[in-house]
Amino acid sequence: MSFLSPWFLLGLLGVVIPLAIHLSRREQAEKIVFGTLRFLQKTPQKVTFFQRIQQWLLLLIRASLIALLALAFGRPFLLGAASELAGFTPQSVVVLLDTSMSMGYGEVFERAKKAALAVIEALHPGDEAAIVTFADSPGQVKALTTDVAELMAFVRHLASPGFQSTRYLPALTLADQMLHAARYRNQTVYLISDYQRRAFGHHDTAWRLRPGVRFKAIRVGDDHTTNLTVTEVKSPTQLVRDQDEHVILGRVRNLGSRALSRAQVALIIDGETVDTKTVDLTHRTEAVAAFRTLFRKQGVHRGAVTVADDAFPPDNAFHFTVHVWRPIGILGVTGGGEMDGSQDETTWFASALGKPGSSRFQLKVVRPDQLTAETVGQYNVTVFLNVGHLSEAQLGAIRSHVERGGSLLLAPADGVEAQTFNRLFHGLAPAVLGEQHVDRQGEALVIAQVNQRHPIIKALRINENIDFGTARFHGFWSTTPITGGEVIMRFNNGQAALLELAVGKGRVLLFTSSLDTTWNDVPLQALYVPLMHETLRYLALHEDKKRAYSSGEAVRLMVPSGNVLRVSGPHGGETVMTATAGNEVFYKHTQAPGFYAIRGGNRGDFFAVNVAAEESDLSSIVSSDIDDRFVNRDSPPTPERDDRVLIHNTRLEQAQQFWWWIILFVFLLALAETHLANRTYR
Amino acid sequence: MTQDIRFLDPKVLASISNLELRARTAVEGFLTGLHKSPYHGFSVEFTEYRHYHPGDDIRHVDWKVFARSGRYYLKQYEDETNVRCHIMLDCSASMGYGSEAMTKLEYGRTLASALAYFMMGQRDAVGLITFDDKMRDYLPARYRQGHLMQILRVLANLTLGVGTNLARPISDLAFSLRRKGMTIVISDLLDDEAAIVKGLQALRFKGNDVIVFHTLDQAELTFPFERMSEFEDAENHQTLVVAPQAIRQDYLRELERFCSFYRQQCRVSGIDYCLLNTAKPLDIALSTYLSKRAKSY
Repeated sequence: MSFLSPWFLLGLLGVVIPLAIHLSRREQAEKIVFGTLRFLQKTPQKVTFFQRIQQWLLLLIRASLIALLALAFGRPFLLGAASELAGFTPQSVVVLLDTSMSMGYGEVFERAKKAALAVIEALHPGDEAAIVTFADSPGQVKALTTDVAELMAFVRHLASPGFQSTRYLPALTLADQMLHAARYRNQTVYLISDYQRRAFGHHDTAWRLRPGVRFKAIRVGDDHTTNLTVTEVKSPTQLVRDQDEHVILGRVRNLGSRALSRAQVALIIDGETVDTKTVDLTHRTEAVAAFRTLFRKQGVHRGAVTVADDAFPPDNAFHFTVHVWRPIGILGVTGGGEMDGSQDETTWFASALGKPGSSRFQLKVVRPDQLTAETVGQYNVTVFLNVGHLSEAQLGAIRSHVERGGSLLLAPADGVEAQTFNRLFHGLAPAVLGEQHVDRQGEALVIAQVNQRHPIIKALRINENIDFGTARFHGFWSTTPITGGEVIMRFNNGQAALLELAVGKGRVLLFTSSLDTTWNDVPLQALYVPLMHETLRYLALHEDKKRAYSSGEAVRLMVPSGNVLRVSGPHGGETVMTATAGNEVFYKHTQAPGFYAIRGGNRGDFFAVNVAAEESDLSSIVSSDIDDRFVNRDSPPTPERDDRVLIHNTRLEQAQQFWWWIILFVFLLALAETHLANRTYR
Repeated sequence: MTQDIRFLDPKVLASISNLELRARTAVEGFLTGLHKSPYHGFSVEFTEYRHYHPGDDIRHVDWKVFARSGRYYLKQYEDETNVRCHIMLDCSASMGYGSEAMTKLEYGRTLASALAYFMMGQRDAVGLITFDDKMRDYLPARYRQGHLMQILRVLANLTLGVGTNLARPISDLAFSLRRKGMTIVISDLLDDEAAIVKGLQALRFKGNDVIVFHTLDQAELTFPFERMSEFEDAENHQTLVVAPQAIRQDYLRELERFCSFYRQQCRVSGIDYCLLNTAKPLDIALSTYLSKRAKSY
């Protein structure tokens, strides 16, 4: 031990001060002539003894206080701690640990953790290190620290790999940024991974680590692997009143390095194995297994094509769903033309919905006088095609149906009088009809503005890539939206073409032109069928279904107004969702493969999630190629002398930090002295 | 009454240098303060007749005899048997301690003189014994003119002695007394407790009434010292440095045990024990005496 300020040790001479005070106080003790000392002498000896002890203890404490203060101000430090620093250059290290799905193969992830622990154990005192787990993006991050024990505990408690794919660039970028703010210039990035060849397909070949940052690849993958995966399944996604036999095709591929013969491929529907096939697969070959099955019951069926492969289970099954729907009930009420006419709105509308029996819609067309409350209640959507007259009883039934959750599509044309329409649909229609504008000779109007956020428009944009500008309009109703009425489409003259109004739990759409070719050529455009389908689907709240989603993909779910959806994953855990805007929500916790159950909104549903196909390919690149992809060789490593000085100073400060403990001890001694002195001399 | 009681206050009495005046002040102050005196005078007993001589008080002429015989005869009376009381005052060095207006000796001297004055007023025979480690003054119990002044003179000239040996004077007194009487011991009793009790018992067993006024100073009773001090024994001059607050509890416990011993032994032996605080008025002591006098005589 040595001292930074040895002159303060002269303060040790101050120890004589309390001694002198004690002696002087003893001499100055007041003398009292007392009647007798017999009672004083009879007091227990231990009192006198302890009193004497207390006095000596007090003297000792006071002397210690002065001595320790002198020592503390002398700034003692350990010589050995500083001498340890000679002979090595401190470094800053970032360990990137791959936790993608492919790391779950065999014992690969355990080897990765051991490799990370080995890197940490090899650090010298004073080195700092950080750990970042990653898959397609950085996961858990342990910031740069010199606490080796903390780092090792972090590694030991890492969870098993998830189901994400591998992306090196985000993790490497983060490591580079962390090292940019690191303490030392001797910097190294350790990347512990199985180095899948497919992962480098996404790599930005131009990106490199900063100059001077060393890169060390630690490959923990197996050279020889066994892995069969179901890469694809072909199956119907939605069926309506289906009675036919369907063929399910499952594509199985050998992505390991070993050949496999007599591999069992099975089709499982709703938990029961429907059929099993046997395939022989050599390296990098694939086979298609065909299964025949029927989907008789309405509802959602959960299916999976599986392959037996013990080494890497996550990709051994491809999950999918098949929805067998009851057709959407559409009640068409036509006010003009003949029901079997060839060119009226009924014909065009019925054509747009498809052939009865194969369509997702079940259309029934009635005249206004055939409309009853019972009829309205049996259908999801009621469409008024150029209807100009209804009785009060019929209107009451329609209004009640809408308020309970039913939907209306109003399409007034030349058969409607504005005054009558406004009276009939007062409070139901999103707008009040003004004048009828028909000009076949003049310049036609087009759809010039659409509400891109509306679910109908979004569905049309996403699924059909619709061009709204192709349709020409010669006639329309000018309208004035009422309070709450929302314009979805506008003509190029600013007038509304399609409006919406929420009424109770239901909704009403108003198309301000005809749904046949009387006032426009919409039925002749590609826009017509998808517009009718999406509009009716939106009104009936039926969603588009996908066969399956990829791991991590967001799933769009429709939530009826005022309802809550509960989504539970394949391994349990429930997520409660409510729509914050519109009627749709996006479920994003789709990491684990399997079936996700949806409950709420008066329905039960499932959707399937499968792992990313590229993670199944376990082939890796050779180690010699890895450095070239990440290391920047533009400049040599920077000098390290400053680092040594920096860590030397740091360790020196650490070596003398215990003077704080001396001060703390002095404080405690002072408290004890106060207590004892009060007991002795008060 | 409050005004009269103040004449019993040791501070007031200490300011009176003349011992006789001090004794008279104390006694008269005490008697005036009494709400109702327990004494109505003492009666006399008829013995004989004698002839009247000029100058005799005609109040004692027996007019009935004069009526029958035509001669003047005076009634002759004889006093009741007087109490013979010995006051034993300790004047050892320890009695010289006093933290208040009076030392223990001064307090004892005042008490002794007051008692003597009081007794003489009641025509009791009063004797005085002063002692330290031996008997220093001895005045036998008498009732005559000038005896009170003799007692007060001895008390006034009293000086502090050396060590205490209370047992010996008591034993000497018990041996020398031929008539029963009363003995009042005024002392701090700082001696061998067993020997003192043995002497007091000897005195008591010879038929004497014994009153012990255990006289202690206020500081001795409460030990109020705070600072670290060096205490010196008033008798043997030994010293001891102690932190008073550290040993106060033990001191008071020992003192209580000391006083309790005397209190218990005196009660067992039929001796009146009265602990006196020199800071308190004398009325307690005088009341104790009168109470004893009334019960026994």
